[in-house]
Amino acid sequence: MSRILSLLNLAYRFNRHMVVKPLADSTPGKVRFMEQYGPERLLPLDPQSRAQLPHLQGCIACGLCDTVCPGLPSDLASCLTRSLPDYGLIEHHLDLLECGDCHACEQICPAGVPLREMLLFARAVVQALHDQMDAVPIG
Amino acid sequence: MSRTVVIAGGGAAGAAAALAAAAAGARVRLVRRALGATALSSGAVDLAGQDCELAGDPWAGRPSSVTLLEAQQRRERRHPLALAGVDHSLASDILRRLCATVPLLAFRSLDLSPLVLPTDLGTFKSTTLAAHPAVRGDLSGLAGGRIGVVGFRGYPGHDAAMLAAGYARIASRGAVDLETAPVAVDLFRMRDERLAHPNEVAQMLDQEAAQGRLADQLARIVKAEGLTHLLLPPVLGLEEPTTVVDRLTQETGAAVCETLATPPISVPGLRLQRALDAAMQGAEVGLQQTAAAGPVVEGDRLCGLELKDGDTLTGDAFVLATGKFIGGGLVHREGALTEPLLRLPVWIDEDGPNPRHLGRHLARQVQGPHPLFCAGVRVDGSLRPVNRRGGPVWDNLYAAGSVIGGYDYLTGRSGLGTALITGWIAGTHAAQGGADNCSPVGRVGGADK
Repeated sequence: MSRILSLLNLAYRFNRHMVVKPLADSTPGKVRFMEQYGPERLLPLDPQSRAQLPHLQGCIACGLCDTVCPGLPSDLASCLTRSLPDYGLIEHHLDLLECGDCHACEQICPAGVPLREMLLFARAVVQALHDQMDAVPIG
Repeated sequence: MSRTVVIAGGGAAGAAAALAAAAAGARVRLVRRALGATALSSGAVDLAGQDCELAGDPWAGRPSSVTLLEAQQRRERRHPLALAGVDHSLASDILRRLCATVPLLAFRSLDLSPLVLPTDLGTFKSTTLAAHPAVRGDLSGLAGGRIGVVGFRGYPGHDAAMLAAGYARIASRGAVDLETAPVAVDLFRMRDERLAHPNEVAQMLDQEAAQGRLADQLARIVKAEGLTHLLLPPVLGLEEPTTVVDRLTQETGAAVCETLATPPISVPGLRLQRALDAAMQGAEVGLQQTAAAGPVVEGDRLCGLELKDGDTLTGDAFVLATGKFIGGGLVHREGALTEPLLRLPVWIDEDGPNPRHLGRHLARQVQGPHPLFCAGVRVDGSLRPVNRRGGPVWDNLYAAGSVIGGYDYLTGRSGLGTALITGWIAGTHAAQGGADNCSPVGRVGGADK
């Protein structure tokens, strides 16, 4: 008897979780994610950025790029790209980093970090953080 | 018509190969993706040493570099210098020629014992050769001196008090009498209060005005403390360090020298690479700044290197000098350790080729040998990479530097010295079209005239 009750209970829970809940709760997953993690400055990355990120984090902190670029790209590469939630802190730095199209930093980098790509990525993330901060009240 | 030699690799081995091939009359093209491990090295050129040497022995009775090289050849049968039959006179001739081509490097006879150079960790490193600004800091030659260990306020990589205590301790263990005193100068606080990077400080000290300000402060300290020597962090200019050291020596009245650097941030390493680049430019080596992608093979001959940007570099002979783990000469790809450019077989010890489980080749202690550092391609007596059967992969392909396995450059103390010498030999063989009856120095000496 108790075995039948248990199975019925399980069927009811399963049904509620798989059928009723998705139909009743119309809030998209991304919105729920942002509600949960937005205040912690965690951003959902699209699949392309997610694939890109490991390549951007290959810095070995040798500082060679600093010798060819007055904007100190090593700060961005060695520390700041390692921690996405801290991206909001580098805005000032990004404004100072005027990047032309010379690629000198990439030509000297022993670890082969695509530094220009990293800068564009950082700017996009900071912009997205801005948009998100406007949308989600902190605290 | 002269032969064309194509070299792949951005470090010391590739540069030495390029200089040797150019000296032997070849047309030389060098392709590199970026700078390699040479630019990150401490600036010391090791040829042969032994682990734990000088740990407690008096420095006066140390073995000469010749003795150490001979011991290394008996100890390490697979060392490329042993395979290529490099005795001390050949090593000495090659290093002398390189030092003449690269003025930053100070030649030192192998009959002398190695230099004892202070590092910026408060320890010492025993090394065969080094650049001029570091050579003057040879602790074994400073007996009786009173040495000011200089720190820059706001420069975190160089704690003068700790270093001064460290040097005094190791000198007393080596039975050398010298006195050290920490001193600090205030020069490099950045305008926005952030901490300066070593490379930034070096670039700042390329300017005469900054050198002058530093000299003024140091001169006052030398006078007040009665110092005979000043030991500075390795940041005295990126362009002309020897000139900066000379100027400071003249204006302060104390002998000025630099410590070695701790990789990966290394001004001396970058300087060495730049000095090699300048020498290559002087020798009219064509530099191609792009990654090499793969071989172009015709029949059983290597006839070119395909480049990432779509071009092909054709040549009569080739030198692989792509380095080990930092340079990208060896990568762990598709589950195995591979040589990505030419797909040559790679060995670690007897395990291989192309071993999969690299963790097995690391020792449990940090100190002591790690077999993983011996990973690389195997070469024959003329430095041609060999296949699984032991024959050369291609007759016109040579290898140089740390892409060659069979020796532990860390515990064996034979990093840059091996890179420079194997590079020179590989470049000479490549330029002369083979190793048949070839004695590199004899032939190269002939090319001088």
